[in-house]
Amino acid sequence: MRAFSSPLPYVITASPPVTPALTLSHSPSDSPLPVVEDSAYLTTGVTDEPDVLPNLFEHVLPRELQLHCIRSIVVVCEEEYERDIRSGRWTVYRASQERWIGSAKGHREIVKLSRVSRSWRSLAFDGQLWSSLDFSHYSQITRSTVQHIVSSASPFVKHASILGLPRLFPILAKGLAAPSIPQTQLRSLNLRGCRHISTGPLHLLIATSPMLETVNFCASSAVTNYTMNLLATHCPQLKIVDVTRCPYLSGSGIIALGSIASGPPVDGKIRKQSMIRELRMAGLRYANVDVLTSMGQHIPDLEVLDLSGSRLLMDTALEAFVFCTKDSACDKVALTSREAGHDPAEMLTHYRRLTKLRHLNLSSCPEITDRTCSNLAHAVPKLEFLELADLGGAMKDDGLVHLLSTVPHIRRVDLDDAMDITDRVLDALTPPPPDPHSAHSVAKPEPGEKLEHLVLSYVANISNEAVLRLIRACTKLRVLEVDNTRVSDSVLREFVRTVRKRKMQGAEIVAVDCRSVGKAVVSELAAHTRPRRGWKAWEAQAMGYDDGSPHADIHVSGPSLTAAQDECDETKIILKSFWSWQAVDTATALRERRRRLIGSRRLTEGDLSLSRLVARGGLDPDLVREDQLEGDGEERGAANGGERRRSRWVIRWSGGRGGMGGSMYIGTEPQAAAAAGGNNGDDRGCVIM
Amino acid sequence: MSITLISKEGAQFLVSKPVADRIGVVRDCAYGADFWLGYAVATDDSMGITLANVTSSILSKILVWCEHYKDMEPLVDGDSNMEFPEWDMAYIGHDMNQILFVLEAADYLHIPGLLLLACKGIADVLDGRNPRGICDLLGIVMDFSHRQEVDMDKENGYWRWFLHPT
Repeated sequence: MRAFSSPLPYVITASPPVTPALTLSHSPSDSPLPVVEDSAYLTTGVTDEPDVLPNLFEHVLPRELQLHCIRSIVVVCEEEYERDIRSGRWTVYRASQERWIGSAKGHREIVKLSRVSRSWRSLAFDGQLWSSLDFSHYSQITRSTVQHIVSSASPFVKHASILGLPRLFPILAKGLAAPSIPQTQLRSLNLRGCRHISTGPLHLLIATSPMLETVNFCASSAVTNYTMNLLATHCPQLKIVDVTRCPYLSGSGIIALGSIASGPPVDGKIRKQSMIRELRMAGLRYANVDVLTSMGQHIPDLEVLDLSGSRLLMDTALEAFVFCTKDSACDKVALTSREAGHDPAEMLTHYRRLTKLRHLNLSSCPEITDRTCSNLAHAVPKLEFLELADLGGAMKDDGLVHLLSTVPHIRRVDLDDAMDITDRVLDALTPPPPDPHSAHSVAKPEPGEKLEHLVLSYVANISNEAVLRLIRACTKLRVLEVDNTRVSDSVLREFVRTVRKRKMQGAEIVAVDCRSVGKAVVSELAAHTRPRRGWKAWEAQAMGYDDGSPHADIHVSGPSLTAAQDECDETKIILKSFWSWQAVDTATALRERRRRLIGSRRLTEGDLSLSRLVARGGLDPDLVREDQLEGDGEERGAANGGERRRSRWVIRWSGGRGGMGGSMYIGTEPQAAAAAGGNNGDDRGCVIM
Repeated sequence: MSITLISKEGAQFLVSKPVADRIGVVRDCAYGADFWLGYAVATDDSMGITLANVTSSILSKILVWCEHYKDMEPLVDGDSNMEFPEWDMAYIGHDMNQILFVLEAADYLHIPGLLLLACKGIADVLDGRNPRGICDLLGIVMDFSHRQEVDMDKENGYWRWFLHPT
């Protein structure tokens, strides 16, 4: 059967009488057939259609090629999805109809092939096709199917993910760490969200997986301090560890993770170092000085460190993390007393370890103050993401300014709830205007030049002018969150104007609960903004995003959304405010009403007149703005009491009666609505623009 | 310079060097040995290479692909990018038997790019069909016993409706 598969055909002639299959020879001069000319070979030549054999797929192709074909199903599905996105055919409506997309669809199709025949069943469950096991999409998959896949694929599996499916863990652990397999090939293991799984199988799996590089045990109660011992002992390649919110893990486990991986010190010096690059341990219990000291010594290459929510973490711990002496072997930086944030009169040289940290998260650590920032200054020159949210009044100007002036590559700063900081912090993040005469500014970036994302929510003391200066100077700024601050309309206008000038994608400004931001500016900017960051996926259908494309039920007359609200257009700026929230509510109410109307087919008089208007070609059904929604709930009887209640709520909220608020209509008013004549005679002033 | 390729039936196809370079076996046979041995490559048109496992119709179809891809860097195994997605899908079509023979010949002639394309073509035909449709298409006999089918339905649980061969 495998007659023609060798790349060198002359060794595998099919049957004895056949001449050598491939010969390099001068063709005989008395050739029976004329040599086809160069340009004409495409059309001439003997057209001899081969006989169609039954079950050609299995008879002609060797098993490797059959597997290759089946593996290609995943590739085809992924390419189809990407093509749809590129060409704009992937709409919100389609996303709500098609749950299975990309590789998830491809793997599902492969499982389907197992129902064709026995030989296809063995093909579909061949381990080569399942080297990457990701069951997180298939929440309804049965244990026996997983059992079948895992048992056949176990020697091949490199990536396993059962995100949020703890019931599959016993099967996975048993199948992968089977007694017949001395070592698994696992490179990554994702058990995120598997809260209640047992510790024994997990430890067995870790002990037999020496090639593990990435583990994610987020919120798993199976993880103990001994798990960290095992990881350090058996997995020398480990690079990414996520033990966020593991309830039975404490600081001593992290100490073991670093120190065991480094091995015992020889002659007082550490020879080997842990390779861990990323350590996420939010909510770790007993994260104290000892833990951070050990990490500083044994995990020197750490780039991502998440310590958020550590209740006992104090300033001294972070100081110990970068502590070193003059004789230390690590990379270090020598600082004067002033640079180190101490009394300038001390005349001492201070040393700090130069870390490779790129992302530091100290949010929600109640004991952390700006003293930590001061201690980290000059020690984190590569820092890009700094998260210091939820620290309240403990965060002051001095430490922050000291740190921010030493981190030129900073891209994201989260200062949520830092209520005591002032404009000095913003000025530290505002790069000076580029000087065309100095050449060294190219070589050394200023802090703030790369800033993309800044969170200043609940920072009550910053002024409008400082934020404006920052927006103008930070040319990369894409996301700005200024909830509950004193910023006013001018910040919103300036942000929208500069972002449009810089032609950025996916920019966002959040200004909820800002008293100085009025309704007028939101509607003024409506043409360039969208109220939410819409995304097109099956999971997002409950959010009811609008992408401006016509829906499948367009032929049914009834209230519809206008095309002005495209929430998935990346070129539009996301503007979140109280008023844009109202716009979302209005849109949701309209959609709900339309759905109800279509569902019950009980068109009221107004809808019928609208549909007649549409039938005459006078009105685009997708451009009808339903002003009638306001104040007509009682007249239009809803199907049942619940819906009646909802519609009444819409009325009460949509204003005109309470004198404040009012329904929000974002976008330019369609001309067609004006053409509807007396229907939109609502001049109560509750519709903006 | 040109090379003559001779199909199973004896039909001769005169192809230029860049086109023939797409075909791994021809490249190795025509140039590889001579280059390594230090001989000059024959420059006359009379050199012929017999490809005894490839029929004329399939060879002509393969040469269309080679002609289209003659200016591209040859793909290596495992590489999956396609230069002309629309042209490729139109070229490979949906005729299952023809794709199968092209795939077999691409494997035999060692053309990784075409092999990949043919596999995608087959996958494209299989994608979205139910198991019964695949059986009809490929002439496969469903050889599950009733009991096995019941067991599989039970195994597949929620997916039963999707997997069932109707």
